[in-house]
Amino acid sequence: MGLKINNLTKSFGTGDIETQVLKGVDIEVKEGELVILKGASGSGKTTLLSIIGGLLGRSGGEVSLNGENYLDIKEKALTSMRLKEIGFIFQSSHLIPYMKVIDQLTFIGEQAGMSSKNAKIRAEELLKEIGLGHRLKAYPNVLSGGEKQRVAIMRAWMNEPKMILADEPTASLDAQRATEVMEMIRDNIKVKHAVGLMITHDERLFGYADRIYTLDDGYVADEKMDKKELIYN
Amino acid sequence: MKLALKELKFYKFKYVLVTLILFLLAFLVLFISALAQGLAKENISGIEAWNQEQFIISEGVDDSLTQSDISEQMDQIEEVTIEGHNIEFSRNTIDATNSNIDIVFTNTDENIAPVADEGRFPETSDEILLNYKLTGEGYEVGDTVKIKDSDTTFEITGFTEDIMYSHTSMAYVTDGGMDRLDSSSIAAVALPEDTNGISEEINNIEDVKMVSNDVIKNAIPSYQAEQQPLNLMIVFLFIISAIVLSAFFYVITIQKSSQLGILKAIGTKNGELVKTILVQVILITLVGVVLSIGIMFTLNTVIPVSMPFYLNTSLMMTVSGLFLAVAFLGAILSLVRIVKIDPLDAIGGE
Repeated sequence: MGLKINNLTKSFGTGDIETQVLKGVDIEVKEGELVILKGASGSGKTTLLSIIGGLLGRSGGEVSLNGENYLDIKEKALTSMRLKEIGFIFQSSHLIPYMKVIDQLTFIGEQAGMSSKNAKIRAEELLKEIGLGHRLKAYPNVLSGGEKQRVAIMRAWMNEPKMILADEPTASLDAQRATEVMEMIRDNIKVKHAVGLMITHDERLFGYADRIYTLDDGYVADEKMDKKELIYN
Repeated sequence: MKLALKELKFYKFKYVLVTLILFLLAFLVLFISALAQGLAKENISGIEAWNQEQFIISEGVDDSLTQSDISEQMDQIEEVTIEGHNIEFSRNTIDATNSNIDIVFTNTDENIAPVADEGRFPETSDEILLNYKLTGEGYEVGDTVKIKDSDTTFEITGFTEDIMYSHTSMAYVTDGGMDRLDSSSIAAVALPEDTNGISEEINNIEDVKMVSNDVIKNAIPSYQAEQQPLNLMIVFLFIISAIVLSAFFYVITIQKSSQLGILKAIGTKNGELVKTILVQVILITLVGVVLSIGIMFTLNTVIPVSMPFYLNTSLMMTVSGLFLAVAFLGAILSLVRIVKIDPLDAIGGE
């Protein structure tokens, strides 16, 4: 079980201007695993993540989560899946400026069908868990970059998703904050038996991954490489 | 709903400005509408007060009641119909305290005459019921009005609102009262409707024709001349409101495209985001319109009785409904934009 990607392809444009970004990607991420996806700029990492997240259509291949081939379901169902089963963490926190910290989470919970009361209880638990219990009523504009990103991570966990997709979640953070955030993401994935796929260029964070894939020229390379090998070579 | 309210609360200044503009537009529309209605009342309220559908009048007088004189044809008319109400007209000038005032005297029978809002209807030949507007000249029940250049006087027995014809106040007197005036004549016979299909027979009588209530009203030159430009202004104000609201909400939506894209990416349905905009549009419109209605009612209590200004509940409801419709139209562009926002643009991509 977990995430399985088989022979995934993606092309942009047609005819002479057709560009094939993904030429047949195969990736497997098991439950409780955090896999890092690296690659040069323009190699198609975000395209891959967007397809897995149901935000972009694919040209060919299969993507399944816990055995369910979900990309061909109707748009409405896919939106609902993004809400309930996929947690997104972006490079920037992308918090809603007019919502208090606690509301950033309760809104997502209520959208997924949670009662206001239960959403509030869960949001408080999650925020206290990451040391933001004293910031529940604060607006994003008074939070530090690290605090914002921690709120964004907990927003992704609010509906207990089966899969976390993160696109350079530590890019805007200093080293210490980046380490904290990585530990938080990894620990949550382990404890909650979720699937984690993360794009990052930061080699200091490779040690947190169970496996590392490199996307190069539309194919996945180095998938067999052990993380220790990467760190020490 | 929550999303909409939280945003309104957070960006108070921005949305207060939008509401203020909407309030000013609604106020202007209401003010001009009340003015148009007031002017309309000054032209046709006397005719509307009779509540009759058909009128038998003279031919060749441009459908004008004041020029019509069917006294000579009354015997022939009475052979055709017995249901009509004879309307005598006599235009006279009265000596008022500050100036002379033109008045259209009429003697229509009590069956179709308006009820006195203050005092009572005249019973003797020297009594008169006046349009309420003349209280602005200082007249009260019991006072006497004198016809200019004549010894004829009438004692005021009451007043009633909205009895005017072509910007001239009307006065009701008895048949005997009409006889005391010079140049009185039967101007028309009013009929509730052409129930017996007598129009052809009436039209066959020489120099007489049957016309509808609307024809009589539209024949008043000042009525059409005033209503057309005012109604055009109202229509343009609604169009301007739609464009202004459309521009505001579209710009606001573009400004928050990234946020909306993120919300979509994390699973917020289009319907929820569309609902958010609609709730905001409805709330802003309602606050703006209710505020303008409040100001209009206050204004209505201080505006002099002589000013053509008429405010009623149906006008308020119509304008409020139209503003909501206009605001909704203005929001359509934003709604289309929301549906088209691609979450990928918000989160960036290679």
